[in-house]
Amino acid sequence: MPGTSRQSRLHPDAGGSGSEYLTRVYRRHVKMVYRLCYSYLGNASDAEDATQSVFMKLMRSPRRFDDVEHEKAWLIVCAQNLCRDVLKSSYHAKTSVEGEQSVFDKAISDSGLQEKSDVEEAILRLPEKYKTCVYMYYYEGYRSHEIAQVLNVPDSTVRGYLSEARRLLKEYLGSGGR
Amino acid sequence: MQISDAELYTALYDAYDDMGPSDEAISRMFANIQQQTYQQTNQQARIVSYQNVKRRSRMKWQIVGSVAACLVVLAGVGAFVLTQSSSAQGGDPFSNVFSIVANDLAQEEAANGNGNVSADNANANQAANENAAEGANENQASEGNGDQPEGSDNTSTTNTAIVDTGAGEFELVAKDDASLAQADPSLVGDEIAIGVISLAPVEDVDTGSECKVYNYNGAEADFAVEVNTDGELKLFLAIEKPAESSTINSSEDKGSYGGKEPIHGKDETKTTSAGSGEAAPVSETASEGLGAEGNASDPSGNSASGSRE
Repeated sequence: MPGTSRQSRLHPDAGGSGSEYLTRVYRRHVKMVYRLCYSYLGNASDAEDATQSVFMKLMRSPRRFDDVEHEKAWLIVCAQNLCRDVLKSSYHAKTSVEGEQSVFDKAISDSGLQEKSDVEEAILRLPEKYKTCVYMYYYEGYRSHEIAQVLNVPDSTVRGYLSEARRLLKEYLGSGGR
Repeated sequence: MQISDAELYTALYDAYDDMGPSDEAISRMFANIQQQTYQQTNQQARIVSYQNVKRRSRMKWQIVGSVAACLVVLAGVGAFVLTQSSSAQGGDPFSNVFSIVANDLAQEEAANGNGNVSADNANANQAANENAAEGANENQASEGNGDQPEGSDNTSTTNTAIVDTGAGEFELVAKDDASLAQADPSLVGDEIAIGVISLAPVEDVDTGSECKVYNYNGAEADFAVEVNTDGELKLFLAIEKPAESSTINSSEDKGSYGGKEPIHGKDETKTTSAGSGEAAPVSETASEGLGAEGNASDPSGNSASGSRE
């Protein structure tokens, strides 16, 4: 449960050495972090780099979480902040021109391994401030007040974000995606 | 086309589910994380090792500095204690050192035959050789009592003479090629017998140019000796006037020195300088007569004594 006490104590699952614990954390949350990063950055290579950065940050400064939800909430917030930093960086603004695909994504698209669906395109088109709320609400199953606790924003704000994101997604999908 | 909330929910869930990552991507990311962690750990270990080396070096220098400071403090305390203990005993803590150095210098000077002893050495020797001074005083006293020290007869009898310059003044001159007197710092201020003194040679007593006249300032002794800054002796004599003295020849006997017959010989000198009751005491007349240096007409007897012309 997110928003529980943030006292620093060992997670029940934190037995063994530090590397074993971090390995378990990685395997438990890597998909969530990657999807969130992908929803922000829009391509697999940047999402992989951001995911690695999030877990590297956890390894550099190991911290003890109360429970799995606490651990999950920290990773979500960390991934969100890191993706925002990447999007604000001059390097990303220079390399990712709107409408252009990276070489890696272009190769993937050309090989037919992965093709972005209309819904995925719609998610990527959402404003940044809605993306975390949409992911947590529609995929992770969090309630609005839980999202508010994780993101440290008012509940009404989360509900407003979700309402607006829902409207935009319906608009994108109803008009054929693009 | 308008989609419902349920359809949107399902569509979004499926879309997120399809985003990945693949198992291959998960393994690749994990390998990268492990590699970066290993490199970072190595780098941190190197940094820590370097910092440890620096800390050890700094600690080593701190220890060396502390030990040096302790040694300096101990040396200071030791010197202070030594000074205090020596002061309590009333002696100069370094007198032994100075004495040794002064003795060495004096011996070197004597060995080189150099008649001039520097004032510093003389003063140091004077300060250090108290025993020597005492010994000299003893010799002087023995002479004063009529006991002539051995080895000093020749000097006094052969190289010195006292001549009358007239009008109550007397000169102590040296004869022949007698070397310049060795200034013994221990004799400063002491009264000694003429028999142990030798002065600079006088080339020609007849000319009178090198004659030294020494005035006696004191009234308690027959003569006195002091060493000036050049290390030369100054002799102060108190001799009775020729007319009254039984030991100094009168002007009638001054043939060999151009009318100034020297009084030489141990017996004459000793008689003049005798401190014993048997010898002729120093009379006020004699002191007054020697008071003016080179000026026989000045009877005051308080002129600048000891200035060598």
